[in-house]
Amino acid sequence: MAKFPWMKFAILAVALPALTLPVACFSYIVWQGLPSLNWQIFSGQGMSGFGLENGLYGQLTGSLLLMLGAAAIAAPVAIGTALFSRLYLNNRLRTHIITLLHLMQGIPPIVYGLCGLVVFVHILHWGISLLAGMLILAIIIMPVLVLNSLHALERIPLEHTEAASSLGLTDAQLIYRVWLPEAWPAMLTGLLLGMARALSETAPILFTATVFSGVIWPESLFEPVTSLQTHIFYLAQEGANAQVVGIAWGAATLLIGLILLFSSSALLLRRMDKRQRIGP
Amino acid sequence: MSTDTNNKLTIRDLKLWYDDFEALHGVDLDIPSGKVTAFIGPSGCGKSTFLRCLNRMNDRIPGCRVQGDVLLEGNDIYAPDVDVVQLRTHIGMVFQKPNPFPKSIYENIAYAPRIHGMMQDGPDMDALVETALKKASIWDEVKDKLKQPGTALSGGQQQRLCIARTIAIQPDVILMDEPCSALDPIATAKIEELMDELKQEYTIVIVTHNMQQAARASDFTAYFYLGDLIEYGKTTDIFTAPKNQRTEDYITGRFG
Repeated sequence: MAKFPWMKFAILAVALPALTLPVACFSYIVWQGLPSLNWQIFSGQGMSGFGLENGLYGQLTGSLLLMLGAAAIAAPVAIGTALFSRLYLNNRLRTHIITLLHLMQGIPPIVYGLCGLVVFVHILHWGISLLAGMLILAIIIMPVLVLNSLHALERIPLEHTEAASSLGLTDAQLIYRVWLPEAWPAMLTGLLLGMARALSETAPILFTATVFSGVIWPESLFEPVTSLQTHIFYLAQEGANAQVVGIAWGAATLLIGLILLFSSSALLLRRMDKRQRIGP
Repeated sequence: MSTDTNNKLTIRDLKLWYDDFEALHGVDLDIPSGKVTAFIGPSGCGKSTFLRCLNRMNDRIPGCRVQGDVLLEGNDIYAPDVDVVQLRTHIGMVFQKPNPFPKSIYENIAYAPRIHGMMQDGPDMDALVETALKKASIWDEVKDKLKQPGTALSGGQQQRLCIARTIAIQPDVILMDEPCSALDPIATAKIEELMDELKQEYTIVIVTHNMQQAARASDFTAYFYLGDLIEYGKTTDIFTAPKNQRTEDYITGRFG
């Protein structure tokens, strides 16, 4: 490296846009959004102008409901899948499953939306509903949760598993007494990242779970909701109206703030977990 | 191949496959009660694999298949009605790398007895922990720091803690898979001394890479090579007058 001092500058020149662009984007969104973020926009339930004017309360609750529902459905299934494949599947089969999960991650979200529209909304007659959105988002975040849980389980030293087995622990005791206590911080980290992902997905819920306006709290799982993601989409189409675009920026800032909150708590948890591992 | 003492474990025609690879080609062996039996042989000869058959630790390894009989006091441990959990409380195991749980010294010992419902927390448990640690000759070193993590001990102490943990579930047989390979000579000497005391109460089977260790610490020795049991007998006989040329080559250091 010392022989090629220009190398450092070349790499810096290539890396600079990658480093600065996210910061620039983020700053610009916040710059645009902050003026519209006042107390009224959080609490305001005003429907005047079909939601084009003040109030993101309904959108905020809708986004959070979709995300929490998706997490509540996906987490137990993902952890169960990971435990099952770790306990009972041979390496070859597990490799196939991992490949399949990676493939699932590559499917564009809009395709999931289409499948959800056909199966949940039409065939099952749920209509455009909160439940359809939760399920589709659950399916979308499932692969990353399974992969993350499997990784967390695989990081447990084989010696601990063998020690537990040799002391006569049953499979259930092995899971509850050894595996989960050691793996839960990493599993929770993955869940938080999955929740951030569920918050950011727009396409799959656009025509399966959300409407433009008219809902503050859905009265059942079979009612549609409004969400921050889709609200930005709808408002952006009204680009000529400055007040409307201002609200879109506000919604974007709120959404990014939420996503950052989940991602950074995941990172914080990961760092704490790592420190615990290194310590005595 | 028969011995004049009564046998704790009787193994007949034991074969083992990892998928298509046959790792053990039909092993017959009697392991006498209250003695130390050592398995020696070069790397990959199947001695550890064979040891792990004796408490069914290979069960969880994908693609692993076992055929033949392993009788613990006459009962086949591979019979379909055998509870593997129960079996492992009769046959304990100590591993190559000391593997205490990331818990306190006390908890490491109390863990399994509590889970198995052998004992509730209280004075009885305290007594059990003390007895197990004393039997494993580590009590004097840890009695003042039972609340400290087991992983903070030295390697040799960790290994004796693991032996104490095994003793706490009151097994008949203790299997040791190269228990000293990660330890220095002084810690090794302590474990060997310990084996000599423990055989009063337990049947001990040890896998070792170290022929001197087998010669020093065991009563019986079995020499494995490429998945076959080549020779088995009293340790003094094996090391002074081996009957098989391959055994002689190995123990004299001409091979391996």
